[in-house]
Amino acid sequence: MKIHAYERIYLALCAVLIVLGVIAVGMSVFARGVHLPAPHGTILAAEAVKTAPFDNLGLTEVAPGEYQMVMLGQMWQWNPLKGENPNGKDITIPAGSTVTFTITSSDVVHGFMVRGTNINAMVIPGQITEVTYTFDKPGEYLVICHEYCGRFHHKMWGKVIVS
Amino acid sequence: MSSVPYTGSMTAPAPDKVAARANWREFPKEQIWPIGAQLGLGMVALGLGGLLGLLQALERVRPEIYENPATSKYLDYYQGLSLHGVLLALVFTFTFANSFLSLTTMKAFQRPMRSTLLLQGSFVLGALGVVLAGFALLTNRANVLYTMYAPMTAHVSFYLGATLLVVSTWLVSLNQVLTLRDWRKEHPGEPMPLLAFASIVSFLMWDLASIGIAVEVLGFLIPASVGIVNAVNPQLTRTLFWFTGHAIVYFWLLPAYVSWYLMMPKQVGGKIYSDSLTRIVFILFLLFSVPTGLHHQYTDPGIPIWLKTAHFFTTIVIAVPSLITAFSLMSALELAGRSHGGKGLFGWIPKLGWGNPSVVMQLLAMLTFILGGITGIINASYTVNSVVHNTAFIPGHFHITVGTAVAQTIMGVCFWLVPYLTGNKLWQPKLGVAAAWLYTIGVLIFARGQMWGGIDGMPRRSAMGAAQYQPQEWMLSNQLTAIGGVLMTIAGVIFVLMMLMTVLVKNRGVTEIPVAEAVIGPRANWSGLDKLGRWFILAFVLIVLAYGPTFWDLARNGGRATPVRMPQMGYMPLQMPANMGPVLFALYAVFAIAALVGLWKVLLGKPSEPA
Repeated sequence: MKIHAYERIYLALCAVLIVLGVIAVGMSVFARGVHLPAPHGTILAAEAVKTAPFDNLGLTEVAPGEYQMVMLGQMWQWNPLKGENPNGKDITIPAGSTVTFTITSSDVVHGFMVRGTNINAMVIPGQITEVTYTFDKPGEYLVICHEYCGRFHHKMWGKVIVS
Repeated sequence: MSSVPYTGSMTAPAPDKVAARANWREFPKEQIWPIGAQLGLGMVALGLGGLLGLLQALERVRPEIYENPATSKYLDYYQGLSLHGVLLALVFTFTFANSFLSLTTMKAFQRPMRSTLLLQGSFVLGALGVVLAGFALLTNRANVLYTMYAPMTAHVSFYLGATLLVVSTWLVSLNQVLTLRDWRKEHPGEPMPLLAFASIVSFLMWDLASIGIAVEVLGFLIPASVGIVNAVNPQLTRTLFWFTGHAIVYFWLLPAYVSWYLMMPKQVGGKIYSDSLTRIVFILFLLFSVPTGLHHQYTDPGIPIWLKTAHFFTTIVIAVPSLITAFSLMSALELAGRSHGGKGLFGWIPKLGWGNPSVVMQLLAMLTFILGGITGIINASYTVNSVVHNTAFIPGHFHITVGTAVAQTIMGVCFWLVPYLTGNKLWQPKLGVAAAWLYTIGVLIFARGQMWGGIDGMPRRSAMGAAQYQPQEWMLSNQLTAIGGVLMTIAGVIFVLMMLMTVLVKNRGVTEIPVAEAVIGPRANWSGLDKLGRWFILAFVLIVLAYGPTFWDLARNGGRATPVRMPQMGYMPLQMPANMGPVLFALYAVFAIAALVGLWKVLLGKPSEPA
């Protein structure tokens, strides 16, 4: 099979490009410690509200500067965050805090994203999602549902306030 | 400027009316009409889907489009979004692939398809699918977007419609393979015509890819929507969806590649660069399109890290055929430009036929697709994905892949295909050149808006105009999206009008199917390239390796079934009496028997004769 010399050179350059790309991604994982959401157990979605830890939603300080935030994705609220729900309450933490979000959904698929961070994880009924992030900069962080979850999907949001 | 003069049809006007009517007469009429009808169905989908897209783009700056008492009764933002996705990503692309790649197979083998029944059946099932799915969508009973993530469920007619659309593609594939067998009997040992090779491999890839969605819809979603089962495992159905969901983009793209590789060189007065490399590219797509799907699920909680990593590597491999394509196409174009007197480093570019609407549409599609490819690699890059996953960056990305490389190429192909099928010259070709530029400028502005917002955390598939949380910083992004959307729509309206007038205005002229020859021909190939059965089996093995452990893991640790729920969705599934299980299985059985009988008839039918 004949392959032109230019073509061989081009293919070699492509190979180099791909190897460099893989190395860069590898460095983000091993040198910078960026990790994708990994399995954290399963749950019966219909009974999520009654199942620990989701029977006690909200923020707990587990160690100095370390928090656990237990949340439930529901149509259309990041329970217990406020967003557009009068009964909800946004959370406030001091700068430098590390928060582990433990989330599940009691109905359909939702998506958990915090604007301005690399927190980005699906929240799927039957699965438990866990994400850890250190909030270094003070400010108001927008929590958004980024997966279509029904008619008022765009009303599903909340805030994390870092003081 | 152009050295390939464009006269409104691909060759000089016919000397007499008899010749002018001889357009497609190389093939039987009963095979040409379903091809034209499929294409027509696709045009309707493009028109409607495009207009809904305009409403979505405008909603970002004028939310009252949906949020007012007069319209909110009839149309919901997410209903429009579901329609936009289904009409453009499924109906428009499928009908075009069915139509175009049936014709290219016939042209390559110089014979009609083996089965007229399969060809007509493909159109009838596709149209029936559009009616069924359209009913559910238009009556607010299927606001599930085209990804249809369980446990959301839609009216059963939506799933039946989607199933029929997929079945319509399988019929084309079967027909191609049967026609290939007939041809091979008469041409033992000959290399397959490249055009047929590319057309058939595109569909073989899709046959494997569509297994996932077939299992999801027939096994889980239809039973759930009629109430036979009350619960499904959402992590499992998502995984089945993305089994198909990534490869589907190559099913959209490969018909465009068929035009780029095999037709564009002819249209710009040149040749295909390398026959063998073209075949290798299509085989790589056959092998690696499906075993990459988990890169759409990097952020899913229920998929183990090692499997996500494995699919990251296979995804990187699938970038290779597109990188080769960038080289092969550019070199084919450069050779053509130089043979028409182009000098210097870039002097060949103005010689490419910028006055021919079919060529200019596709050239601009290729240019924007470079950006589309790069953003695709960003999305696939494992950790980088966390920055952009499910943000507006993604629609930004796919509007410069499927929205340009695919949609613009389809439009470009239609500029000769519709004249070919109707026997009329293209109506006002200059308008087509204007539409190509307008569309490209529009889509680039649109994509810039979406990507900008996405990197700043703007979610995708959300009614942004109505979202109260929207920060001020996203306004520019929304405005660009709206401006781009308007420009794309104007171009789309021009295109649809041109197609309509080409069909209606009688202005006879001969248009030929442009098929290019290769510089390095098929005789120099390794004969193993043509052994499609073996490549198909190898592709299947790769899928089993990539997805076997995934489904094994889901079966063991995949979580439990979740009740399907709809009441809050604003629509209801079909309310069926209890014990519908036997009825549904009887229905499946009837369909299966009909399919087997039909298949048997087709297999025993007369082989096709050369034209």
